Amino acid sequence: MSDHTPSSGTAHADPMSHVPPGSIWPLLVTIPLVAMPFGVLSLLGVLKGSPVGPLADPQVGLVLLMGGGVMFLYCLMGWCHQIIREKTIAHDVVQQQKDLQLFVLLFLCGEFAAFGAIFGFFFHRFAQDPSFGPVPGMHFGGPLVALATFLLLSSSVTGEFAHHLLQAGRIGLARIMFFITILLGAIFLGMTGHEWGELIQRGFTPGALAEGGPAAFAAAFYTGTGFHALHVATGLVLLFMVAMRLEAGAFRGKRHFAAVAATWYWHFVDVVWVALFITVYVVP
Amino acid sequence: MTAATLPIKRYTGVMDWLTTVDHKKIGLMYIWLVLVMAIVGGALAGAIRVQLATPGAVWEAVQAASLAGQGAPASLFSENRELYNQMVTMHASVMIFFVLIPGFVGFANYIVPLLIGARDMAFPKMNAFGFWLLVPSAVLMFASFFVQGGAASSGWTAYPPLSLQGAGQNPGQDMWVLGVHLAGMSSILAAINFIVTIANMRAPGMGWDKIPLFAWATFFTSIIQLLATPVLAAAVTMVLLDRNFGTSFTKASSGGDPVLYQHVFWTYSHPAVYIMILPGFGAISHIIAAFSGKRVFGYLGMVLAVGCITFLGFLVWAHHMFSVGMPTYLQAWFMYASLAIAVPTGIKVFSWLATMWGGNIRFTVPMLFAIGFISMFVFGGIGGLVLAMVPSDIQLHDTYFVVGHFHLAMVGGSVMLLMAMCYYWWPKMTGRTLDARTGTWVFWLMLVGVILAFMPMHLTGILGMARRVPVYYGDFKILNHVSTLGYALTFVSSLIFVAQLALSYRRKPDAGADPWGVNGVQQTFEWATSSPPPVYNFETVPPIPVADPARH
Ligand SMILES: [Cu+2]
Repeated sequence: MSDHTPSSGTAHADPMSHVPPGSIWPLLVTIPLVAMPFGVLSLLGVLKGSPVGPLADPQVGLVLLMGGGVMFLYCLMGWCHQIIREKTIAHDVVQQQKDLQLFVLLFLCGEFAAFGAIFGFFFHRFAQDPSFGPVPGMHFGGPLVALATFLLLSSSVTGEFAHHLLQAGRIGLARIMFFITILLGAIFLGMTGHEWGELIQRGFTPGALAEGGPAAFAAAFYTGTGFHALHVATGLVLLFMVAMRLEAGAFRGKRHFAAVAATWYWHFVDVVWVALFITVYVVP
Repeated sequence: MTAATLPIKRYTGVMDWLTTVDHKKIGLMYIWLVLVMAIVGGALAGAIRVQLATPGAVWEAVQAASLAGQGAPASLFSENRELYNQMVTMHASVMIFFVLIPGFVGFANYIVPLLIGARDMAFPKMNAFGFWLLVPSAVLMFASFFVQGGAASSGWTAYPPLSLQGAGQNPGQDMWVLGVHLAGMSSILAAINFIVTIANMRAPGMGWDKIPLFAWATFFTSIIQLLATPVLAAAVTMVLLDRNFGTSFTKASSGGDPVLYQHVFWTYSHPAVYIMILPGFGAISHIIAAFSGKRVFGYLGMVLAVGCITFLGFLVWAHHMFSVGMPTYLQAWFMYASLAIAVPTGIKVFSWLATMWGGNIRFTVPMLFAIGFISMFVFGGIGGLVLAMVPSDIQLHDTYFVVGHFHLAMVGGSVMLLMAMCYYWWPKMTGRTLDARTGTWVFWLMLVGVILAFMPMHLTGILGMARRVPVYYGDFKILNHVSTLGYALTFVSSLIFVAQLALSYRRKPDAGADPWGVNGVQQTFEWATSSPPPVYNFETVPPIPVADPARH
């Protein structure tokens, strides 16, 4: 990104120097974005018997999905690489950081709206259907979930510390704090996975609630916690990338954007979890 | 400035278009995609109209035939009702996701950075990605015609349990959902890009009180897109999960609720109506002011009105579902809130009229479309008031009155807006002026077509003809024939329109910086640079007039 706003007054010597070069990546990413949905449909078995023929084979589906995934990641890396290469064209670092920060804030607003729909589902059902919720006495929630919640909340604190240390220029401490944050997040994710496994073993699956309770609660529970876990995983990847770039000596100057974004994202994940925890475990 | 030392790869020719991150080229690609899709969607509508015009489809004939123990008589879809449902669904989906929404995004892409004096959008690569995302989305939607069971056939609203039919067998509905996901992602990325661009990249001295109205309208529309689209994604994901993963979001037997799906769906889809028209509200102010030789009447009121519509638009969704059986106090709330939207909308209409009042009006082609838009949109809006009122809505729900209402608003409104914008800015975008005689023909054909096609639908609806049903009582025959004739005129005028745009490329660029001669009064930035503008838009931004800010 360059400084796109031309200054009023004198003409720049070469206006072309502001023009960013083309990029093949936005076009190439569309290939995996066609391949992956078809892969999913093929694996679901719904393409069976249809004239799309060879795609119906689940092995082809797997290739489409996995190959698409690999190509998607490759494209993202190529894209990032190009951005880093073109960094030198950017004239106005402060403006660029402002743009990117607003981007992250807006993106999180969109995410809030998506989670809002999930919460809307829960509370509409709570209001309309008194039996909506886990069957009394079944295994649900408990100390493990409370501990996981505590760990995730602490990780938000350590993440904030890391961010402040980075701004204060204390890189060494910041790095340690980032890694503690990542560790706590990873433990949370592991505990969520463990809890899921426990529940599924007792017959509480996405399609059915154990002991004949309302299956819609199971659907909402797994979608809500699953969508949140996906965000935790994304947040971990972001934090990990920041930590790695810190190792490589980035963020020494004014460019903290990636660190800021990762921290914000992490707080977002945290806030959503508090709301989700209350909705799923406390309200019923 | 290390730019000179950096080896920058510049593509040329076709590759230049495929890899471009220039908002102007991306805008034009959007516009051409939309033109092609409009013809495809129009052809799907043609299939519907042919069915409704075929005498063999008339209800008595069907009954007589079934009484006589014969098969249904010949008409386009009498053998295959399911195909008719697919036509209805895909016509709506194509028009919404590939014509109306990206249409305004395309124009905003080209024009908004020019209006605010920026060199490009804030995130040029993401901008390109937003455009290209529409391609996999379209691939999924159109490929679904060729799979077992055909394309989605539960209407663009995909209400369960209808949309759960054929789960695990027919992938059409699943492909539709995934296509909507991708189109939605494109919408969200574009929205974020516009908000950041307008918030951060305005020319020095252009405060919030000096932003041209089209940019303002795009800003508010982007807020709607950003906040509403994820909700649509959530709604259709419920359908996808219920179809394929055994969940029970919408299955009443297991504690789910199909009505809740409708609530979630319309939480997006009512605001989506504004995504399909608000940017045009802003643009039309430019056009009317330009050809009345005046400045926009009540700039601040116009900005507040758009903001007000944006806000209220999120609070009225359930006026689409009065007949599902909701408590009276909710019905009352959604009725009064919906009626309240008429106030800011009225402010806008009166501002357009006041801008024309006493002006030195030039009846150019864009101005014709602008005036046509106002008249058609007022009719469409009044139909909307009738439908916002609970008693009349329950009577008219799911009849052709509803179809007539939203087609007047969307074709007489949004499409007319897009065409006005196209005629107005085409010389700027391509450097080629468009022939006024052809344009005038396109306008009158279109206007008469829209009136003939959609006005009678209000009557067929009041008389009781249900929407989405391929057969009907004989009483409706004449009205349906009128509608089909109107459709034909509209479609022909669209073809002429697209041909005129395509043929304009054969000529050399002939438009000056200000081909309409409007900038003496308007003083918006897009007319200050050449037509088409250079890659970098402006070498220097023209100073913002101090005495009278660029409120055009
Ligand atoms: Cu509505």
